[in-house]
Amino acid sequence: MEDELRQAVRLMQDLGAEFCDARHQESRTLSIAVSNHELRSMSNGRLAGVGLRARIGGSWGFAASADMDRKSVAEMARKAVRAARSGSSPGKPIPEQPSRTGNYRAKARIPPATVPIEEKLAMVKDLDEAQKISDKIVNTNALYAEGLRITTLANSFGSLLRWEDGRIRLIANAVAADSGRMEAYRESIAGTKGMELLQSYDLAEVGVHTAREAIVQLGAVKPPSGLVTCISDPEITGLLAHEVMGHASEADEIVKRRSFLTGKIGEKVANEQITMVDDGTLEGAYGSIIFDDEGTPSSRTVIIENGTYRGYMQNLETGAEMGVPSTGNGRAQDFGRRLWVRMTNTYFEAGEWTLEEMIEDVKHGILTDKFVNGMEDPVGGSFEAKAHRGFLIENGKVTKPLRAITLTGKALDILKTTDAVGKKVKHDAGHCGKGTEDYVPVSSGGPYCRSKIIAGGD
Amino acid sequence: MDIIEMASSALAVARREGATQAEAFTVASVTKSVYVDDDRIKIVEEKGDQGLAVRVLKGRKLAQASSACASREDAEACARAAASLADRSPASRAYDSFPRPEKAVLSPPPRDGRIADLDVSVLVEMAKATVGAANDRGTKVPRGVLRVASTMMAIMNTNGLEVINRGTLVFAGYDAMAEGPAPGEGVGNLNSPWLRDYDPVRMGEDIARQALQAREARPMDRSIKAPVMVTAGELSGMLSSSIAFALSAESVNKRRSPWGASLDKRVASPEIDLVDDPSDPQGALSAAYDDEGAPTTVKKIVENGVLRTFLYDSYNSSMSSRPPSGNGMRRGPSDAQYLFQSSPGCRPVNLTLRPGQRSVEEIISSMDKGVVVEKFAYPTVNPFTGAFALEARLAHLVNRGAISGQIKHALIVGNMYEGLKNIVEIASDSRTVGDMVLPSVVFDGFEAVGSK
Repeated sequence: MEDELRQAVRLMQDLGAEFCDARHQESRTLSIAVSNHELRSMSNGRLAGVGLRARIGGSWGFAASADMDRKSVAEMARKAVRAARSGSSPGKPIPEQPSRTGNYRAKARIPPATVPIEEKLAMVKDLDEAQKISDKIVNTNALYAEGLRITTLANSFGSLLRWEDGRIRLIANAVAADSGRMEAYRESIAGTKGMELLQSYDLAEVGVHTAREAIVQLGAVKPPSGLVTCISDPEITGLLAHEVMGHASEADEIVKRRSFLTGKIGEKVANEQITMVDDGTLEGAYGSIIFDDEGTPSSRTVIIENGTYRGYMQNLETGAEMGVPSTGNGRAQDFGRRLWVRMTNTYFEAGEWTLEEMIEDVKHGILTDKFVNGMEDPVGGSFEAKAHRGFLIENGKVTKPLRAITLTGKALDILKTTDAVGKKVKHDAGHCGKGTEDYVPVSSGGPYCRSKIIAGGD
Repeated sequence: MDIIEMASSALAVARREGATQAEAFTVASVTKSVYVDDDRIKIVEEKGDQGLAVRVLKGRKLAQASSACASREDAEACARAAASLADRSPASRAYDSFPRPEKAVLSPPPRDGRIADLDVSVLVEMAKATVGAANDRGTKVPRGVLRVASTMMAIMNTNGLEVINRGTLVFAGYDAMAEGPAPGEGVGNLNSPWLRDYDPVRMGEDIARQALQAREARPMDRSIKAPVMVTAGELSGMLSSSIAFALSAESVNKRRSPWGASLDKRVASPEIDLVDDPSDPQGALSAAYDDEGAPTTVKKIVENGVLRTFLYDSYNSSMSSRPPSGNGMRRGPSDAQYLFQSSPGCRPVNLTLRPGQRSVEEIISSMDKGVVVEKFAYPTVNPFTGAFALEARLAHLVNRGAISGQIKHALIVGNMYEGLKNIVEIASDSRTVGDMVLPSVVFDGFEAVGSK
């Protein structure tokens, strides 16, 4: 395949591309789903093809196909250059980058593909079975997913790289019902490690815990509404990092002045207890990558340091526009989709508080538990974060479970109210879209944090 | 290699590998997109896509494999992978057959013949016109996409079923930004099988109006209880995540549908008539067959507020001992790439809410107090409980029959299953949104929560 990719790059250069790359990917996935003690689905998938990008001025032409013979790839190269010429975007040239070569393997001690399917199936069945702890549990679910993607990239700087991205994930989801009311709870284990990650958990305990918490939710009450003192759990803290500051720190939003953080470098934007980073090199985290989809090594980018705004995540193009190097954040869902500036593992770093100390000081407030989803607002500087549930805090004590809670408000207002940052950082796993498309695996996280936020729920 | 050859090769291999039954879903699509970035045409794309999904039954042991497909060898390898996986699959309680061939009930809806051979330069000019219209009103377009796709699918199985579905897709999504110390954003989306439905200038004008109004909108500092109108574009996401879940036979069979015990009972106000109408030429996914090759039908799902049926794919129809309803769907309304990767699920083909008599403007003129939500951050609902609390990014306050101002950063709080029982009025402004055709609806019982 390397020869076809190099040939495509040469042809795009000959046709006038100022920068170009050719990316071949082959992904293999396996998923097993068990529900109510019965196998619901067992499937594997293979996605393979080539995507070619050509840049002329500041416009890109892009062509992609599953057809990878030499003739088809050459035709795609011509299409990509022709498409680039039909664009109208100005742009600075991408400066010469180091030519990179090499072959990099996924970091899995026990590669999932080496484990027999029967073992994986037994694990999923056990996780499903463990959730059946009461007649109130009406639906049990367990899902296993593994994936390995191999990327080969050639570009007009002479790079020829091959690397692997491997991921594994296990999810338990229990539904409880009683007296006409229904509630669900889920637990998830995920990362860029191999089977050793799942083997480090007591999966029976994970299943029991998931079911037990679904039953607890049957007694949950409506959360308070309005501006409240909110202790966000690591998942919601992470969602705030991701949605509130992360998306607005993607440099493609900066160069077109769509982000409320445009021009904020060096300004105080948060309480000084807050440091936030995007780190694609975090070992084992779900959003970690060896290289981004432009072949730039992943890196650690400090976004907020002790409350002061420090910088943006970059790809090759935004780096060229802003006169800085790429931070290795140019990512695409797959070979057939456009590449944007995207996050990897985005999180707030640890502070000095214990959760108990944070709760002690709260007269009336909420403690969140687990994210459902969130949505960024780089233009307006607001955010929406949905928490699966929470707990009411009254006079320094956690008193009762709360139903789902949505948090909103202006990002910079909230970060300035953060007066306590916890000692222990946790990372979750998810898939992030830009708008509602182009999903890439990411993690977000942080410690428990205490802030003033607008909350509501029914 | 064409997709029928691909399917035939896969079925032959699956049989050789011991399949009792096998099914091949093969698809070829061409997608052309233009991306706008900061008022300019940034990326122009042309993408071809071909692949298949093979499902194999060995007795009641079911497995699926899918693959991008460039050659006969790819198709055959995919079939072998599915057969091998089925060997290791535990047997299902009841599922032992893919759909049998049946004649179509509906005629295939017409599709836009212009799309397959459309030169991408046409899309470039249309996108420029949208940007121009937004620029003319003092806003810029930081990002946007205009996409068309044509798709051909073959669904074949060893029961003798052979179905060809053809589809076209138009998707547009744009943001406009009104700059200033507190900038505002407008968002516009369009789903349709017809390129004629995309009016570039109207899209530009509409997103610019929203952006300018959002810039003037103020955060709400108090909470109010009043009727809330949810516009069609936002209602689609709320219904997808609530009633589409409740109507799925998969949810019913798993005992997690909140409507699981509500068949022939009232689940909504009498004004609510919900129909799945795959014959509607405006439906983004309308087709004579579902993605398993079962004939689709026009069916009343909720009639005068009473639940009449659930939606069945072949798996869940087996589990419920009843025939498939033509609702085994793999496709989505906004993207035609890699359709072979997904498995069939119980979803409406084209969920349609019967519109009311009066326009949005007429309804507003008769409201004493109310809120009209034009843009939520991300309109999803808890499918189990129906509860939601959604950030309104642009909403209009109504006072004595007129719009009195705009708000943002307020939470609209309520319960969708309860809201459906408390309909104030349904507007007449039906349009295609995602895989639904919906009008705007006014609900009672929701609350707008501010910061105090």
